[in-house]
Amino acid sequence: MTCNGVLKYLLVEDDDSHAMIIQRTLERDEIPCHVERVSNGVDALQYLRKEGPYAQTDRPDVVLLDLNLPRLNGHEVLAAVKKDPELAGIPIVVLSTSDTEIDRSKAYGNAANSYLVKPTSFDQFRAMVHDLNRYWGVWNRPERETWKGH
Amino acid sequence: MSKGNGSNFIRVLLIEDDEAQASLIKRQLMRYEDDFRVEVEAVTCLADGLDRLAKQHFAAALVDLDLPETWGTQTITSVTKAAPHLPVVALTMTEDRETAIAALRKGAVDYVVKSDATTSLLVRTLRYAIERKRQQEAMARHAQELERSNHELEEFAHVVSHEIKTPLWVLGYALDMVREEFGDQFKGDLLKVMNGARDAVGQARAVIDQLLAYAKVSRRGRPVSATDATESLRQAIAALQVSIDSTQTTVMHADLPTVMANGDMIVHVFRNLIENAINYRADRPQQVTIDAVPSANQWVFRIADVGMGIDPLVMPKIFNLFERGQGGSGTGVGLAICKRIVEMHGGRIWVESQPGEGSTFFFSLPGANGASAAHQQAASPAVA
Repeated sequence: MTCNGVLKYLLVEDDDSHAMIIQRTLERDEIPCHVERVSNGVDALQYLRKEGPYAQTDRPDVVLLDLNLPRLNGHEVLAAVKKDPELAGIPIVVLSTSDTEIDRSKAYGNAANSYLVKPTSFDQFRAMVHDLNRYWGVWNRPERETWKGH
Repeated sequence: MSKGNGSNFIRVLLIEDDEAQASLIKRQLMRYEDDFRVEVEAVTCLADGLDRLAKQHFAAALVDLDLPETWGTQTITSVTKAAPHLPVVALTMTEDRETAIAALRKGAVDYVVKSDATTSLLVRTLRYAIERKRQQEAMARHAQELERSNHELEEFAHVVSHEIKTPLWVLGYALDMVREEFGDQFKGDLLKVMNGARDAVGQARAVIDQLLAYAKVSRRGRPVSATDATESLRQAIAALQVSIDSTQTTVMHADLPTVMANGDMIVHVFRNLIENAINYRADRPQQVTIDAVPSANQWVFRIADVGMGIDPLVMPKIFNLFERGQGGSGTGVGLAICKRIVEMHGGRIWVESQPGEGSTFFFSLPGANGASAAHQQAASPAVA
């Protein structure tokens, strides 16, 4: 169960325009959700570990992760989360413009839950976001208790 | 090897356990005094030989294959492993061709039968061994350099494409979002400009994908084998079936030969050339005819069309990156990729064209049974 019943995403994206488009598309989807954003890999890990400025923040239900990030890149963040027993259960969806096999297999090798390539048209992107929201918000809603600890 | 007045020395390491034989060879070599002189360092076992190699520089080594602690090609392996850049000449007891060839495969550059070892034979063998090794190393360096630059091109394309794709993504989505919210307000020129902008984003994206495809053309992980070109062509046609049908294009082909090539890459060449014919069709329905004729030890494939033909101004540079004819919808990368693929297979690609009447693209590939392509029967006439 989430705190207020609305699925909470953490969007890790350094580019403001990208972040705005993703956030806006998610929040306008018919399935209600809430998006928080950090813009680099170090902040993402702090957020998930509830460190520093994020000590009082609830963990997200799903992380949407870009690969090209400053400081710690997406692959490094993914590896760190999946190696941490307390965080490993948080679903991580890689959302990338790169459709190269290297990036895809590396992400799955680091136990990404999903790898999505941003489609070329906005209509397709909106459909993808809707599917994503339905998958995590309805069909596979993560149980917070299983990974949240006490 | 330096030329000079006899004051130049080359140092040769001699590993030979038979001391009488060793001193004979040493004497033969030291007798030579012409453009250079030979200084011989003789040792009687492999361990001493490897020890000398670690400490001193030699121009070449003469190595007896049968030593106390090692024999046969194993001896050569040990020496070439310790000194990979050293020209090694094997010394054999008899004219044992099999052992000699095996030694060459393990890295020796030549061999000398001991009983034949005269001064002139030894010096000539050493001279050629040094020169041959130098050429082998230059070729290996060249191949390495080529592999490295191919790899760099691929990496460069990957990075650039990502850096450009990211802003394009924002631009494309933003245009779509604007059109969605305000689309009904776009009229006349503004509507055209907005549509043009969207198309431009799509075009830029296609160019990036094609550039990536161009950079990825590499022999790495793509083995060459006997490939049935008819099968490759069928795959290419199947992939293009939708656009072939929608443009009412007819594709006819003869039975094609078997060639030494990477099947996937040949599918790509056929596909690109047929796609090209469809893109540059004339007002009449396009007809593409494909066959192959033998030429020396290669097969020459012909892809003939009745399209718009090629502007003579564009002809000489048609296989260059980003060159394209007027009126087509290509990105100007397809033919450059074809050229890269064909040349990687040791073939050639060219085109002949009559503006307004059509073009014929030719490319050559080695036949599957080497030199005998010319003796095989020519492909039968084109059939639908």
